[in-house]
Amino acid sequence: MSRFTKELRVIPKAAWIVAWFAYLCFTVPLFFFVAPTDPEMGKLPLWGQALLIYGSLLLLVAWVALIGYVYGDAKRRQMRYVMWTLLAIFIPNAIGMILYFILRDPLPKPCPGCGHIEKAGFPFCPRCGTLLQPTCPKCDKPVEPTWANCAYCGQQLPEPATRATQNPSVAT
Amino acid sequence: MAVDADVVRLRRGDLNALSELITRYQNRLYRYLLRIVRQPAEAEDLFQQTWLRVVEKIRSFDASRNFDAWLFTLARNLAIDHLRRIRPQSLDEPLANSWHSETVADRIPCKDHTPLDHALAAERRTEISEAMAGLPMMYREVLTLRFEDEMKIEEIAQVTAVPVSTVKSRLRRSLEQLRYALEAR
Amino acid sequence: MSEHDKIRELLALAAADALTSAEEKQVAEHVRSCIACSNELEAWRPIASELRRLPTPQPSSWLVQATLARAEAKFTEQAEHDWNHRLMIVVVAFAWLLTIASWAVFHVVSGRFERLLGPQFSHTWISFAAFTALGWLAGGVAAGMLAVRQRGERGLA
Repeated sequence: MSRFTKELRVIPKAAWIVAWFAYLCFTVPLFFFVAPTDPEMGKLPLWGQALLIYGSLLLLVAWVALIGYVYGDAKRRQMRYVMWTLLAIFIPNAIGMILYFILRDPLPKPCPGCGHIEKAGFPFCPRCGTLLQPTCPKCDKPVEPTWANCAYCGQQLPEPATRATQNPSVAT
Repeated sequence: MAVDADVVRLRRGDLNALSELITRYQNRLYRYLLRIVRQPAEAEDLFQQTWLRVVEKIRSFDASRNFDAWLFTLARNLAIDHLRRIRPQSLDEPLANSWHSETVADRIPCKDHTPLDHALAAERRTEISEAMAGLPMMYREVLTLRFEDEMKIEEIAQVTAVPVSTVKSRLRRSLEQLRYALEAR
Repeated sequence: MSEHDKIRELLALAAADALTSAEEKQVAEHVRSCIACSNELEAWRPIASELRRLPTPQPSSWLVQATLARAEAKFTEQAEHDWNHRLMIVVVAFAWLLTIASWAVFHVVSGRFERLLGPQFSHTWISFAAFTALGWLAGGVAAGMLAVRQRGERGLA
């Protein structure tokens, strides 16, 4: 399964239903009732009118789907998903969505000890205390595997394969 | 040019391919870096950095190209940058304390040859690696790529980013200097 | 340069197997008749063979493991980064498409209202610009507020 199809599954089914329903609600009246009476539309051949209406309203489907994605994605990242969904809807021209993608939190991993999911970035599980990611031996801050020295206190770090952790990184 | 299956898999995101590639090249890459920087700890650090660089750039690597040459070129660039920052003079001049690649274990005689044979051969090799360590970096590099890695001249030209004729002349001069250093002992 | 001198230059390369087949033939022929060059060639051979048989220096036993751990982490990080990059391009393109579409919609809608309400909406292009600018301004203000808040939250952690 490609990354794209994996991410598509984040969109809740309800969003797809709303999207296609809205699509029909707009395209059908526009094509069958408004277009025949409009003088400017009349200049285009019938297939041109169809293409214009059915084609451009796909943007509507994409827009609703993206809002659904923001909802689902913010939820799984333990962010304030209601606020972000509303921002995505009401800030015009998809700027709210751009903001979301820039500012979103990293994906949290479930705790190997108790399965609880907390926001990403915490080194310990708040429910059971299991160590979630390697920490610096001197200052206890979480460290990245690619680091050779701790970025907070400068302590030289042991090699990644020997760092204390119960959670080997899993490639998704 | 045969396409390396592991490289193709790595480009598609298969992490097992990465593990196989690192294992496959571990000795050759380490040896090459060691010949350039002459310090084991630095060579190990550069080894890791090279692979990090590979991961960074693998997506823009055309799998039909020569992976060997590309890998060694990345390693070379990192090593030279490192030397420029830490010990710029070492790019041209010989190392003050001579270093050789033998460990004590290499000097333990084996049963196949007579102790004398083995001692003579080991001594010879020590002399050669010491003499090599005393050559300028460009010469060490071309000697190790040609004799230890058995790279083709065209590949060496790719890695060192010079024309084939320059590689040949460097090879010739490095051999002459090496021989001169050996005979002067 | 005489042929003899030319051959001498090739002898070291001959020991390194770095000659073209034409050059190799040349050297082979010359060496048959010239003792001095033949001896030279033989003098190079042990050096070449010893160079080939230098013991391979061994890195520390944990080097491969450690490198693998770091490289794998970097790999997943890189994949994320590439994905986000592509996603941003698509979303920004989408935002522009929506902007352009909104002008068209606005044009159509205000066109209709114009017929109903009279010539007050004749400056439609200024209205487009104002509408779009308002949208981007609202977005910019929200971005600023969120970024400040986010930075505050992260700083406390």
